Amino acid sequence: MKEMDLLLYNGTILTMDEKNTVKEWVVIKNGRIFDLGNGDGFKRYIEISNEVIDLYGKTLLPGFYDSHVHLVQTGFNLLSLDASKIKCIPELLELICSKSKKTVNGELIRVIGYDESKVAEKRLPTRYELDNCSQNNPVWVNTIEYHTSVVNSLALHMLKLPFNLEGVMRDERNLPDGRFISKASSMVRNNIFNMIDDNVRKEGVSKALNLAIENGVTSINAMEGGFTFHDKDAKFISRNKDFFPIDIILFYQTVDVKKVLNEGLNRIGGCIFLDGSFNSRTAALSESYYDDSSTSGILYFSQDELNKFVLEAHKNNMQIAIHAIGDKAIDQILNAYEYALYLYPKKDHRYRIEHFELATEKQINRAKKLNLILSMQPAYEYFWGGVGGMYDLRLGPKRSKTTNPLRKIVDKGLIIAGGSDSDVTPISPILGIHTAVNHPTAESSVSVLEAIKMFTINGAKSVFEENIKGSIEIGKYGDFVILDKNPLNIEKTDIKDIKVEGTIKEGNILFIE
Amino acid sequence: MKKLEMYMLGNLKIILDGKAITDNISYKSAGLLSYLAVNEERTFSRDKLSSLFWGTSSMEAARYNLRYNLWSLRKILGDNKKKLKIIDSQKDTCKFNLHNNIYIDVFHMESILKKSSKHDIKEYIESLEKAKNIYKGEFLEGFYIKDCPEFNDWIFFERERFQRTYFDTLYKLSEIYKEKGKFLKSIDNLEEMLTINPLQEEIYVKLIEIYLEMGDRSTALYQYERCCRILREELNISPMDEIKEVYKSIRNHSGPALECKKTEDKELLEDENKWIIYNENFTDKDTKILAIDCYPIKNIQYYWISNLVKEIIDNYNIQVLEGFPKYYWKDVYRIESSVGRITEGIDLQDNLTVMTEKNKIFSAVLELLYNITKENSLSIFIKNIQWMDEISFDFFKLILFKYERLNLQFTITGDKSHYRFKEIKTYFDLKML
Repeated sequence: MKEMDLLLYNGTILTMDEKNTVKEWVVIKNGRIFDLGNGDGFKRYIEISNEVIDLYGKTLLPGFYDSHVHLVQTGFNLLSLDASKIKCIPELLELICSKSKKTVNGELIRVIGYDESKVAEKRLPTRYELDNCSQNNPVWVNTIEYHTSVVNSLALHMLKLPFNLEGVMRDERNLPDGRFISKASSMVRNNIFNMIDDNVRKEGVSKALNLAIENGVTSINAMEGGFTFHDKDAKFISRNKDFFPIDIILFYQTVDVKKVLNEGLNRIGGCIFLDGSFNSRTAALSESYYDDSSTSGILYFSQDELNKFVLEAHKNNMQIAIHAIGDKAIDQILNAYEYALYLYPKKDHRYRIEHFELATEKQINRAKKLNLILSMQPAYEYFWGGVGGMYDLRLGPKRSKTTNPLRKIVDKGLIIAGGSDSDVTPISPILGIHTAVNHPTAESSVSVLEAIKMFTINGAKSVFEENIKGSIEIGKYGDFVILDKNPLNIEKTDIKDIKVEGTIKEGNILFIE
Repeated sequence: MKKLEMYMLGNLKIILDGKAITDNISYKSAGLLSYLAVNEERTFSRDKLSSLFWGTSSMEAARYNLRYNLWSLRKILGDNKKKLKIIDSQKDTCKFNLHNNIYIDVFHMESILKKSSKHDIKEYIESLEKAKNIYKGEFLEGFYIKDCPEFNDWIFFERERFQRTYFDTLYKLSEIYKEKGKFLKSIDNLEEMLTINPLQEEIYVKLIEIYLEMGDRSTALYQYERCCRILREELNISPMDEIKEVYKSIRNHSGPALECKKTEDKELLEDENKWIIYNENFTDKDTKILAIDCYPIKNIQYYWISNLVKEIIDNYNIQVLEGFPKYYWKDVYRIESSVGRITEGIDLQDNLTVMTEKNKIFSAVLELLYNITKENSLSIFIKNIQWMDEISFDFFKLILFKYERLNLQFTITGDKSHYRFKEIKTYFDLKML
């Protein structure tokens, strides 16, 4: 064994330190950055390094953070059948049939992304249709955003639903026809996730982590457990956190502070849904939706309930993160943070708001006063921004120009931690950086360096890790990503085409092209 | 004739002359026997039965399978030509003969419930209990035959039907027990209903009502929290208004209503009768006076203590305060940020439990009071003590129990009918001015 783990030289190293220094080589010892510099200084390390890599002028960045990932869910979805491109029900059934033939008897077949508005029949499949393509496996079809689901008879049999459950759709004989909405849909989801073995979680998470690694990610904030997810997911991550190849920082999605304390964790939240989403018109707005004036979304908590929860978590010294998308929900969480911090002031709390999509200027100012961290997903704009995009349809031309106001937030001096909200958008910091720079609303875009910060040093700050990660400086973890091009030197519209060519975690090469 | 027992509420069990024969019967035969037994009054055509169980086979194969299964069932059950048969099978039809030597749990449960009458309440309870005990689990629990959709649907239907019957029975029992004051038994039945479906808010309301009737306010509150928690975790919703109202009534139940109606507030504010809580050690010389009032504020714990500390910091000499040890100030700082004016660089990154934090704060503020009453005596005026937050009131009582070590005296005003006045009077010497 030689003294140094790894030497990387002949590169463009964007260190992302305070001064945005650029270096050419870096050497790692015991997983930590031992030395770095320009010119020939690296030569003295060649002989004493276990591994030496010539970067051939390629760009090296600190390993990326993805600050908002539903990791277990992403894993499950990678193991599921994707029905988002299905055009008619026979096509769906064919998909399930062929999967069933390859699946061990009794094992669940899960279908995701079914959108009844996009199939020719404009309806969900029936229980009997599903029975025809799989008798030996329980089948569970989820619509997009998981509001509705359909199961086959075997799954219905296994689910053991109570007779008096709300939201079980019935046929003329008063028998459950396999479709579930509202409470029943939630219970079905819960029961199924409860039945799923941790080995399946392991398989899915390992696939998801491989994807993350291929995209240069070395630290993930995993938002797990709670409503629409399952507590088993959070427990699985919590109990296996030392066995993953990259760092998983867990946020437990629950309002039960004791449960989190009992699990020995100090971070609570993630997607604690104060409101829903724009797509399903459940994000809470102060004015009604542009394409449906009858609704302005839903607030799922009363202010009192939220205050009580935030205060309890605050008093128990937890780091708090809460989902708020519409301006009305953002108001609610700001109120709650103000309330708790007024009663028991605390300086370096790093409380977060997740998503923060439709924040007003006033709200940005309030966030600044509280010194909050905004955990945002720039890639939303890639999929939903611009004229004719989902934001435009739901919010109208005026409000859709104010979504994800990155520029204003950065100018206020607030920290934005970048994420993907996977599986809502894929785990790809490059796509996030690209969209933050090429925001469809030009005045909301940020510089390339500012965008990179969101996925590196800001990610570290958002979980109290800036002393060990987030930039390339002596003493910090040897976590890097190798890019084929320098994002600072190419046309900004080409950033999304940058390829991740290698990912290194604490000096270990996890992936290299 | 042999005695046949069939248990279908729960996992299927078939017993012949006291011997379990469930495992000797093939899965489909067991399904067939159950189907015939539950529908004992009906005569089925063989064609109907063959298509029900062998619908995916050719008609000929299906008929053969049915014939074979009936034959093997009759053989196992000991049905022979001379005696009364359990399965009466003709050339084209089939029927189950329910005679005296056959026990079937679903019929037993149904007949008990049918015969039960409210006239004699004791008997009524007995029959409900009996019916309840017959239900060991879902109808044909775990039983499912692939490729038999109609048969499976029949099971689904019957499962719901019997679960509803069981549920009704539990409900009736819980109501009767409640009426009779047998609260624990009533609770058992409600809990069983929640095991079946934990999302039923109305059951939590019933539990809360019972615990309140038992005088167990804290368990009643726990039931409310339990309901809130499950609705939040499973459905991300708040409980319905009805249960929130019940919650409010619990909070008012034993008095410590932090919310008062406006008119009451006004009346109380005008009630200016002052009461002194006498302290023998109090020397009325160079006395400092502090007024720390209470307000009808909901849910802000510690606010009174916090105001007390702020008044002390505002009214005492900084040198006196700086002499007070920093490790105590640290704990006082948890509730009052103006402590930052006295001492700098307090780091509160420790991870305390709520209880430990409370203890530390109490002992630090008490220590502060010892400290400042060494030189001067202190007289503290408190308006509207009924509105003091719960935690501060605990602290207030703690001071009173340590009264003899302090050169300190309280003068209070407020609603004298409030339970807090009674509590103070019980332990301390309270006199009207």
